[in-house]
Amino acid sequence: MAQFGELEAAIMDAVWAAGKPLRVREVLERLSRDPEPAYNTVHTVTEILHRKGWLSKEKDGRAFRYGATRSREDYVAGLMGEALAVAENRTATLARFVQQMPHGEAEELHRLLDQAVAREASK
Amino acid sequence: MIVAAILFVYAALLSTVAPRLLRGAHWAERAPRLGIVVWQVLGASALSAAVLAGLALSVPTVRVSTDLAELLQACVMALTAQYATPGGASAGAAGAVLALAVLGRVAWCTGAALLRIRRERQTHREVLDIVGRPDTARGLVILDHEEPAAYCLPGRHRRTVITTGALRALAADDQLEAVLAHERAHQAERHDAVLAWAQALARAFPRVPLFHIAEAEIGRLVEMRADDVAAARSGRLTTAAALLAVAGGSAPAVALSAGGSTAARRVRRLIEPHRPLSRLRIAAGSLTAVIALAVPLLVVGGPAAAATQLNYCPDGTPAAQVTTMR
Repeated sequence: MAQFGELEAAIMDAVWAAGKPLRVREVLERLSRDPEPAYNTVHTVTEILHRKGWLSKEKDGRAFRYGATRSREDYVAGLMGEALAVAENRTATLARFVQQMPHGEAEELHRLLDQAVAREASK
Repeated sequence: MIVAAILFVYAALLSTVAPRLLRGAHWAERAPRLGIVVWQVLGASALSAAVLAGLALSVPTVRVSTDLAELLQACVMALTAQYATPGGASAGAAGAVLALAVLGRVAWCTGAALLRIRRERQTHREVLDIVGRPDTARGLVILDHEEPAAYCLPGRHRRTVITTGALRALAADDQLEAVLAHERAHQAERHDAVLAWAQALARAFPRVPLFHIAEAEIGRLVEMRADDVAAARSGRLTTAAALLAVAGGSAPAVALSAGGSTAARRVRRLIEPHRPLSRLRIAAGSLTAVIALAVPLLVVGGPAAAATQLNYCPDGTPAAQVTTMR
């Protein structure tokens, strides 16, 4: 499945950009990929995304339309929730660069940093 | 029996007194890598002392011999002698249970923690690979999000992730370079494995002060170590500015731990004059760590070595006969 990873992302991009459910043919038209993937490949990967819960599927005449179940922002917010988890339970799952700090503390440190930079410059 | 008692006391001191003395030690911030090693050694030493104490109770010291048959026979003799008395038998059983319980608990909790971490990383990565925008030139994944944040998803399929908010907050390219150097240091030194191990031990023995203090201290020290690597590349003030840019952008309601946040301590540490620990002191610290690690083995090994001089097998036993027949 690994080789489908990029195609999955591209298909989701196309559906999100369209803002409405698309047929596989329409998805294919909106993929600006070189070489253009085969219809069957796109169909297969779209089905995989449907099975994974990324896309909903509704009947439209003789074909199906696939729509995003959640917005991209929803997913990003979910990831950020994991990455910024406020609680001090240090999970080893992610290594975050730095935790958020309270406003007062940050201001005080900005001041100290400016002084240090000024000292460095005057040397 | 004395060996077991010494080991028990040693394990108890390491688990309760030592972490209180070492917590927040200033030298550790000046040599974070040594600090990490010392905390790891404390844990390993306390664990091995507890396991060896259990074994020392259940297995009597046996004369070491080059002849396998003789050695086995001596073992059997010594074991029967110990387990013939009710006191000896129950002490032996308790020791065996203790040793097995400690080993089993460590194995179980580490296995569970590693599996959980792997699963969480995998689900996170699956979503990330679809919603993130890869920036192959800089080896990054960019997330469209206002809040500044940067993190890495460690492991074999690692990803370094940064939000558009953080990219905007980082004023200059050299600050971004500091962020990346920090994340690369985590990956190069396998800090995720160090943290996973510390976390597993803390969960395995939640009542032992050593392990949860060690987890918190190691968590702090790996960040400082990565900061030092980033600072060596991009400069200390640049790294401090990068930390501030990402940490202080938009502050949600953050629960502040006592004595200021770790983030603030890290920034202060980079702004203040840099005073790394001298080589001599690092060498002394490393030597202490080696000794702490060796103590349980020496305590067990000493009597065992002395026992090579003893003859456990009374005359007329099969082992003695075997030797006489030769």
